[in-house]
Parts: sequence; C-alpha cells; structure tokens
Amino acid sequence: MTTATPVEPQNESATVTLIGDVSSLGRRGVRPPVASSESRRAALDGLPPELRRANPAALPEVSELDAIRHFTRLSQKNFSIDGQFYPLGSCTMKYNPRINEKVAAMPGFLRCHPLQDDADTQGSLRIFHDLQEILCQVLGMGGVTLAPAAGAHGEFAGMAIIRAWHLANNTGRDEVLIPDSAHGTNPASAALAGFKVREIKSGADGRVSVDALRAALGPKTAGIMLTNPNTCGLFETSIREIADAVHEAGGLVYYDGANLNAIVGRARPGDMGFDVVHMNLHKTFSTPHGGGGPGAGPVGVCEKLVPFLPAPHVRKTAEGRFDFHTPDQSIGRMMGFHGNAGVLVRALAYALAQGGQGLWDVAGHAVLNANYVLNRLPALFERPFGDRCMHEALVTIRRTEKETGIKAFDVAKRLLDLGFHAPTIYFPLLVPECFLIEPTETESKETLDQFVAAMEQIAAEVRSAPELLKSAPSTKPTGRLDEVSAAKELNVCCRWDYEEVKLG
Amino acid sequence: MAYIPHTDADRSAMLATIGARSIDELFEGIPASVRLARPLDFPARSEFEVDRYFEERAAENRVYTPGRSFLGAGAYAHFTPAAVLHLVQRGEFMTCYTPYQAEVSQGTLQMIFEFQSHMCALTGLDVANASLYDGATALCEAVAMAVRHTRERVVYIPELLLPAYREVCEAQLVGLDVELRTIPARGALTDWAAIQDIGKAAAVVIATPNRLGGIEDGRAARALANRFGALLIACVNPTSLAILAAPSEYGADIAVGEAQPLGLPLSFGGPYAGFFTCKRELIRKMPGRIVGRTKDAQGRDGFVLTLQAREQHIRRDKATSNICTNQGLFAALATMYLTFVGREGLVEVAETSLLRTSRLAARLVAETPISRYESNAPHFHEVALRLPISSAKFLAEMRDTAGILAGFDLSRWGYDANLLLVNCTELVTERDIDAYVAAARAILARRENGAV
Amino acid sequence: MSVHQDYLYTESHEWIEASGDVRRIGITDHAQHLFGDIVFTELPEVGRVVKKGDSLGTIESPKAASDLYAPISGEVVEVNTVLNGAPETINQSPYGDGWIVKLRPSDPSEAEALLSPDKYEEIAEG
Repeated sequence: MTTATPVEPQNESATVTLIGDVSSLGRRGVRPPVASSESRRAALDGLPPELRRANPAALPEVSELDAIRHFTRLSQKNFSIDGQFYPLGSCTMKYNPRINEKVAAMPGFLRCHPLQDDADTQGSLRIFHDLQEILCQVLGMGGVTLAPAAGAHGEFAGMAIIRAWHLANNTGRDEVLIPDSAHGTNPASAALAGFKVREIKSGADGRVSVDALRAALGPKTAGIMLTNPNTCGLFETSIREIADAVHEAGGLVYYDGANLNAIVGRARPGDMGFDVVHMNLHKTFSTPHGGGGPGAGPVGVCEKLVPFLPAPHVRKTAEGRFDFHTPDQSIGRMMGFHGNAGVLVRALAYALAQGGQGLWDVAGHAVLNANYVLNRLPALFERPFGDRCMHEALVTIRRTEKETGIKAFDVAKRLLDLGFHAPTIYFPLLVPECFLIEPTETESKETLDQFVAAMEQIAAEVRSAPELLKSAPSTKPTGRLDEVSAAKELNVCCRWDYEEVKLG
Repeated sequence: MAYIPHTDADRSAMLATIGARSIDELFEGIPASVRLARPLDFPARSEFEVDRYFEERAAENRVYTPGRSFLGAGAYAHFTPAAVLHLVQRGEFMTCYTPYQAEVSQGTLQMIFEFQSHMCALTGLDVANASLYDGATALCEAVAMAVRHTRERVVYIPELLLPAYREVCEAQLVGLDVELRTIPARGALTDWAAIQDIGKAAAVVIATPNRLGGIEDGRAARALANRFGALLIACVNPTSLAILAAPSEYGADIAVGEAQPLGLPLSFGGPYAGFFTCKRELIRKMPGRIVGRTKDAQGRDGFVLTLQAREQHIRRDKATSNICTNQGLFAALATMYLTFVGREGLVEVAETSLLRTSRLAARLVAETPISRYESNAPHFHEVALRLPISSAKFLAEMRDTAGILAGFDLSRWGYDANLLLVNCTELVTERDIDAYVAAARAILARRENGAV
Repeated sequence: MSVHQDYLYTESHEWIEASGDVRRIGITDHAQHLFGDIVFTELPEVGRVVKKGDSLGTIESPKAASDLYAPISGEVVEVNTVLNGAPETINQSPYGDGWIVKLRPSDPSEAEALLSPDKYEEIAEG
C-alpha cells in the first residue's frame, strides 16, 4: 500500500491541498449499499476480458471527515452573494431565496424520472405549464419554451427558430445584424445557427443608431439581435422604430433578455415589437448561479413562431390534464430530457412569491439602486452617458488610466481586498477602462453606501498609494495569478498514481 | 414586495441623491407606448403559500422509493452520500458565479480542477473541461469539434445511441455542414462491419453501454474510425468506467457523457451535467470553460480560467462554441460524489449494478415467460426483454398491482410493442428483485388464465 | 511603436516583405502590443494555397485571439516552427525572428493595394 501523491506537477511551494494529497489507498469515505464481493466477482466473470478496464481509475480514497474538511475549506475561498456584495454587471447577482431551495428539494421532484408517463408526472408538468403562462405574460409573447439550459442555449434556440421560419418561408435571408455593444454570445449563437453576422456601430449616445441600422438593412437581412436596456445600461428609446424598420425589411427582431431585470413587470419585449426573446432565469428569476450554472434560458416567441418551438413543450389538454408534445414545425430537441427542471421549479417559486406587483417593484428598486450608485460614486469614475441609467451603472476611469496608468483591472482587484466582489470590467467593449455595476434590488442602502465608501477610498489611493492598487489583492488566498504560464503549460488535470493497483 | 430591503426613508433619501421625484420617473426614458401602466395581474403568495403550492404539485407526481424503480434509459438512480447533498447547498458554492475574479473564487476553481482530474481519470484521456449542459449536448459539441478539427463533414452515429442524443445533434448542428450517417445495430450490439463506405469522415461515435445496455467493442469502432481517418468519439456512462474499458484503452480521441449517474438526483431530467474529455492535442478546439493550475507572483499555487480566448466573450462569432453558463454546481456535486464514494466505492457500485441486472434478467427468464431480447450480448446495468404481452400493459399492471416502475417501454423508441428495457442499480436489493419477479409472475399467470 | 520601413502593411496589422519570390509575413509591433503575451500560434500547413484575406492561422494571448489574414494571395512555402515552442518570439521580435509564414505570391500586383509604412503608422496611431 502506498500513499497516493500527485505525480505532476512537482508542487514545491504548494499552499493548495488537492484531494489526492489527503488520499490513501484503502481508506473509505461513505460506503454505498453493495452486494458481497463474491457475488460481484461472479457477475463479472461473464464479461469478456477485452471489454474490461485494465487499470483502475485513479480516484481519491479519503475519509468522510477529511472530505468534508476539504470541501468546506474550498468553500471558504469563495466570494458569494451569501457572503459579499456581488455587483457583477450583466449577471444580476440578486439574493437567491431559500424557499426556492426548499421546494426544489421535495422528494416528489427529486425522485421523479424524466421518462415516467405524463399521467404520473402531472405535478411537474403543471409547474412547466404555469411557468410558461407566467413568462408569456411577463414577456408579452405568444408562446414560451422552457427547454434551453442557459442563456446562450436559449439564444441558439431563438436564432434556430428565426432560421427555420425563414427557411419555411423561402426568404433566402441569412444575415443577422448585431450592435457592437452586444454580449459576445449573440454573434456566437447567430453563427452557430448558420447566420452570417454583420456588426452595426453604436451611436455616440451609446444607443443603436437608427440611420446606421437602416443603411445595413437589405435583401439578405434575416433579423437583428438587441439587448434592451443595452449593455451600456441604456434603454433603446427608438426600439419601436428599429423593430418596424427591420420588419419592413423582411427580418425578425430578437431580444437578448440578459438585462430583463431592468424592466421586468414594467415593460414587455412583446409590446416593443420583438418576435423572439430569451431570458435567463438565473438572473431575473433568482435561481442560484452555482459557480457557473446550472441556469435556464426560456425563449418566448410571437404567435406566428409558436409552431417552431423546440421539443418538448407542455400543453394543457381539453380534459384539463398536461402533456408533452412536439410542435408541428419544431426546431427539434435542445437537451437529453426536458430542460433544467429543478431550475424551473425555483423560478416558479420566485414568480409566485412576487406576483405582478412584486415584479413591478423588483425592476423599480433595481433601477433605483443602480442610479443611486451612479450618482454617488466619486468623480474619478466618469459617467460616459449622463447621470441616469437603468439597472446597471456604467462608469469609466479612462482619463485616470492615461494620467496614472491605474487600470480598471487594478481597481477591481483592490475592491476584493476591501471585501466586495468586483463589478464587470472591460465590458461593454466600446467604453475603455469601464466598470459595469449591477447592484440588483436585493441590496440595502447601507450596503450600497459601504460600496461607495470603498470606491472613494480607492479613488484616494490612486494618488496616495498607487502601489496598493497595482499589487492588489494582498489579503486573499492568492495574489494575481500568472495567466500566461497557465495558458502555455495547460496544466488542467492532476493524476494520482495508482499504478500498483490492478482491478479484480 | 419580496426580498427588497428598502424602507420608505431609504427610498426618499436615495431619490433625493439621484434628483428624481419617484421611482416611476426613472422609467420615463422608456416610451410610454411600450411601458405598462400598472403591474401585471397575478397575485403574490406568502412563503407558506408558495410552499403549499409545491407540496401539492409534488403530491401529483408518482414517485418510487429506492428499489421500486427499474427505469433507466439515460437517467439512473444511485445512492448519494448525505454529506454531498449537504455540502452542495453551501451558499459559498451555490450563490457565486463564474470564477472571473480568480483570487476570490479559488474554491470554485479548485473544485472544477478536481472535476476535470476525475473525468480524465475515468476516461483515461488527457484533458477535460468544466462541464457542459448534459450528456446529449456534450456529444453534440464533440461532433462539432471533430468537424472543425478534421474539416470533414461526415459523422457516423450508431443506431443504438439514445434517440434524444441524436435528435439534439440534428437540431443543434444546423449551422455546420454535417451529414450524420447511421451505423446499424444487430440485436443489442452495433454492427460495425456493416459500414462499407470508403472515403473520409470527421468522426465515428461509439455509445457504450448503448441504449439497450449492451457493451460495445471499442477496438472495432477504432478500426472503423481509422479507415476514414476520423476521430473516435466515445459516449459513455461514467459509472460503468469503474469496471469497463476506458475510452483511452481503445483509442478514443474524445470521450463525453452524462455525469448524472455520479450521484445527481433524477430531478425530472435536469439539471444534470455533461462531461467532455479529449486528447491533449485537441485542447484548443475544446468548447466550454477550462481551469488551469498556475502560480502567483509569490509562487503560491492557484487556479485560473484558461484558454478563454477561445470563448464567445472574446472570439464572438468565431468562438469554438457559444457556451457560457455551464452546470457548475452539478459538476461540483459529481466531484464530491466521486470523493466520498471513492475509487473502490465506484467499482462496487458498478459491479453491483451489473450483478443485480443480471440476476433480475436471469430470474425473469427462468421463472416467467419473459425472454432476453438478445441473449448473447454482454451488458452493463440494462437489458432488453421480450414479454408475452405489450410493455405498456405490463408497465401499467406492475405499477397498479405492485407499485413498481418496471422499466421502459421500448416501443417509445420504435421497437416492437412487447420489448421492455430494465435497469438495476445498487439501490435494487435481492428482496426488490423478489418483489419484481413475484409481481411479474402473477400478472403473466393471470394473463394465461385469460384475465389480462 | 515601431514600423519597419521595408515592409508593406494591412489594416488588420499584418506586415509582408515588399519584394521577392517568397515573402515573409508577420504581425506588427503595434499588434503584438495589443495582444500582450502571446502564448500560442496555430500555423497553416505548408503547401496550402490562400486567397488574399483568407485566414493563415490564429494567434492567441490570455486576453485575445485573432486570425492572421493573408495580405495577398499565394502558396504557403514555409512556417516558422520556432513559434510552436516559443510563441513569445513574436513579442520579442515581431519584424525579425517572430515572422510567421513565408508565402509565394500568385499575383504580386495585389501588393500595390497594401499600406505604406507611413500610412500604416498613421492608421495604427489614430
């Protein structure tokens, strides 16, 4: 018996303990309920040796307590909404209500197999149905699919629906217009759905230029993808004009709902002339981000596009029951099963807790909080688009950067030292050295005041102690990490050495 | 007004700072024609009322306690240690986002690094990503990657791949010029020799165990891929890899699959997590987020997202994929499952699942008129059975008379109406098998007496 | 920022030698600054025939990835294999050892449409 040790790389100065470092061959954690070793061995005898594994998988062997400590210590190295203000622009890091977690963990949902008969899963089907109905109402659309797993997945579904509609109508259109301020997923999703992407320049006011748009429209235009409010935190006031122009030219209008929290319950993409909308339930509808997922990216469409929705879709039958069906001209299947059902349960719990009035107040206070931060930040943080915004405040230190060399990156890292997660930086791309600050409605005035105080302190440090910013963070488990060597060496997995063990 | 902390005094003070009379005024930039005049008309519920709504919905689902369900077909109920379910609920894991600020995300980053390491250990391949949406989308991404890498357009997919996986590929590869060709089945195994085409291809896919539970011959798949100069993509069940040949052992270039069997609850189909591993030389074509190990200026170990330049937020329409959010928390759950169950535990789970499936099939064949659909094929933890009555009727009877979810009606995948797919995992005990066999015997005996 | 006086330039920041049967191609000093530390290059196979504007490969740093576009049409006759092990050579010597591809032009007259050193400098600084 040997102690498992990582064989690569040599970690001379390890401050990090990998699970393999606390692993010992033969140690057991939690034992699953299993058959006796004799009967298991007998069952394996039927398997031809060439189908069997030659070397055992090098997985850890640790005690239950050691594993608990390992993961608890890992968790303590994270910032999270539960622990810190997390104003990450465009990500809507609002409080994740615990009632959502409680109901999602009910055995009636957790133990439900996705391929059980519709008759035996009426509870889950009704949840899908009720959520579809609420989202139709919130978005002002004719139909909603819950199948996509995330925002980008929803974008792809939406663009595939637009493609299918153009194919069904033989329009020959294959070009999609996307403003330069768009999220990177927009052009990536359009390209995945088979479209050519054409970028249109934003006007000086940070909004889509209607003239530039009109100039770009043509016989190949299949549609436009817009975020509203856009990534500069501004509402596209000409939205009806834009939608009408695209429709007249024969295209469809796509709404990226990443910023829906700004208007939820107060304005609806459907009323603005959008034909297809995706939204992120892990943003607007409070489902946890989980360190990068899971999310859910429902897509709403106008009446004429309902037949193109992906499979499966839930409908209510004449008898008042619920079933899955595949729409006539469906673009097909998005996932192995029905979508991220557990996320949908949480989102519906949130919608039910809010009601119409609650959503109205969500947008109201999200916008109130962003405007408050925008108007309280020290002068170092310039406001490129005036003193009003929607749900996120965009500010820049481009002038300071030219004068002092202090970058948005340095300010962001210093904020970590002061106990705040950094806002989104360097996005949108069209404002250099920018911060996109999205407080969300669930933060109190006191928290925002503390954040502003931290930004004031940093503004003073730009002159008084620039080295503090350049070397930040200095109070975290690691300082700035070497991304260049990470990208060159590509050390992306660790193997534990179990050579001495052979299977059965 | 749920989850909003503002008092009237807060609102007044904040509006005064902004220089606005009211919150509504902040929305005046939105043209009145596209603004709602009043809130949407659906009621708010208290926390208790929300809880009650879901209690009622949960009661409308028929759920089966462990050992009473024999339905698999792509999603499998396994034992999950209590510690895993506890840890995954920690707010530090649950309520953070993508680790863009590495210095305050080392927990998430190391978790992903360990996930990547475990997936590589299972498949035997060199590199892994941080997870994709699920097994089906992971396969779709693998096919897209093979097409980009080889600049070829033909991809061979086995008939015995789960139908939903193929449908996902068909729906989501529309933007690529890809032709999916089918490798036919003979019984419960793929007939690799049936493909007589010549020419080039981007990829050959092997799904093992396949949708009927059969264990495929990876070397035959590799040989076929070699004939076309194609990549070999293995679509595999991670539990089975504790005992079955690792994709690396038969020369797969890419191995993907559904991580759900690694302790993730069934949850009506999601959220699950897809895993993606490949040979090192393909890493820059790999979709999704990747965590790499590196050091800071003081030489301390740490982890960062790496190869981000491939991703959508930098490459935009030239990105390897549009994926952004993945299934982080459920990849974390799988990582913790593998840690608590451990190397030996996973072997025991895989062996027990196989054993119980063999036992159930053998006893049904011996004690009832049920027979194996394909008796010679080696299987993992699922087998197809031929019934003397329709599967639909048998399933309904088993449910109503014994409270057992007796399997999957294979006619839903286009097979004969009397074919049934049964799965056992380690949750099924010998006593559960007794109950299944007894109930089946009673139902089929009644039928012989003319009652069914 | 430096500009090499013997080369011609593109708006997408490639340079190419102004004359010769076989001409070296690389990226400009300005471009390597924009990239930051270059960590990877994907080079074309020798013998590949490209049209003006086709991708000749990709260049990657931790914060950016971009295609290298062919300034004129031709056939790839050699690639700088030094870059496989030492992509940072582009940062160190963008106009010298950090060259990327050697191309045999199929239509040398295409070079007339390229930017002069002065013109490129004006664009890059604007």
